[in-house]
Amino acid sequence: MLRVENTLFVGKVSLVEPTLASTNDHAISLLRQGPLLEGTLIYAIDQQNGRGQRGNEWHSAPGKNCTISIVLQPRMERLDAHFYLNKAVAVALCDTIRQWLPEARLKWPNDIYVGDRKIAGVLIENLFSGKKIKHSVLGIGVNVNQRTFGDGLARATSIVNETGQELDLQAFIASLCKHIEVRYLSFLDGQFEVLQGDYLRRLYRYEEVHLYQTKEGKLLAKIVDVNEQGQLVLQSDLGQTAYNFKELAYT
Amino acid sequence: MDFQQIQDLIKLVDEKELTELKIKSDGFKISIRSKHYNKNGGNHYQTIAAAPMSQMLPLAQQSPPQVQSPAQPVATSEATASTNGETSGAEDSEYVTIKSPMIGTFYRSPGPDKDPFVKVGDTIEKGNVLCIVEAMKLFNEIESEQTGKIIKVLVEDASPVEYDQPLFLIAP
Repeated sequence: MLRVENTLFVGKVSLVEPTLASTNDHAISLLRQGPLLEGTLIYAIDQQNGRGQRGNEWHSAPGKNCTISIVLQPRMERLDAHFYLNKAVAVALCDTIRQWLPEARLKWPNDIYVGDRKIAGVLIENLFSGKKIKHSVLGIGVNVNQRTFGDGLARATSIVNETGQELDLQAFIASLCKHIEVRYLSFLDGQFEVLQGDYLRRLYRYEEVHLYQTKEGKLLAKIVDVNEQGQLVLQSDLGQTAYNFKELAYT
Repeated sequence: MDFQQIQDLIKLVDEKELTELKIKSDGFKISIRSKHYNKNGGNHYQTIAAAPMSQMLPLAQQSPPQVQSPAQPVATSEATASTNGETSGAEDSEYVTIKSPMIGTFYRSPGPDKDPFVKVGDTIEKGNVLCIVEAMKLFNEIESEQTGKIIKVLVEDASPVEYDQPLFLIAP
């Protein structure tokens, strides 16, 4: 049983499973069987096959990390709604982690970095009916108390590795629920400009000059925006260019 | 497959007015599609040759432009078929079009090695998931608002789609 007491609806209903392949997949299969209360939280103590972007895997040590999914039903009919929902969740996650690690930043589109190491990631899966989002499953993975990572994850870190202190995982999840609820309500209220400003202020490498790998070659540029289509906008000597995810690599 | 066979293929593409040459990366076959392929409402793949992929791929990639250029996305070849009168405007209007709610990448299956959500000829119900459109790491399942039968899949798997671009034709 996971108790989340400081929210109105996010995490009020929680389903704790000892083992799941993926909390998102579990949430989606439950949603196919029938409706879930908005804010329903699914936590897998041992998530064995957590997913990153299409095909990528993330291995989490059992009981050490925040491996959850939250079900929301934004039912918003606005073209760019899903991108703002993503920004709302990313900002909420960043702010939760900043309580312990004030230097945490948001890496476009929705990872959280401490220095140059990844500490958390988000995978959002929406269901669209026509142009409306019927439900949105927020998959959130945060390395909390895990101390070692596999070879393939040399650039991963955790809260315990950065602070030297283990956290009460339940308190962490409760705090995350609270942050998500606040940002989600502000999103539903249409406060997109506030979200956009808060997102950019937390953005990793925002307004800094760095080298990026694009299909045209290496490019010295700075991030100046994340536009309404969710694309990353880089400013270089060549002017401004908007990139889709996977069209450029950070170097 | 040797060079002679590749040449024969090119000749065949030319003579038969084929519109698509398809090469499965982890399979053993080349599929070739003629521009009349949807005349009878089905996918008429012709298996022209079967050989291990490892041998075929590099050769196929080197093939001259005659082979490359007809390998257009399905949408293009179907557009051609429509203008040729294969599907009349009147018939088209009987169908419901499922459109993309966003800019992104169209996927027909839930994962790289999974079966497609739906195929041409499948009967679907309202609420069935038809595809995924991915945009900036957000995965958007698109469900059918309509009960009916899939008549056409208008976009090739893993290709970019625009906002409002038709994805499927459904006969209610």
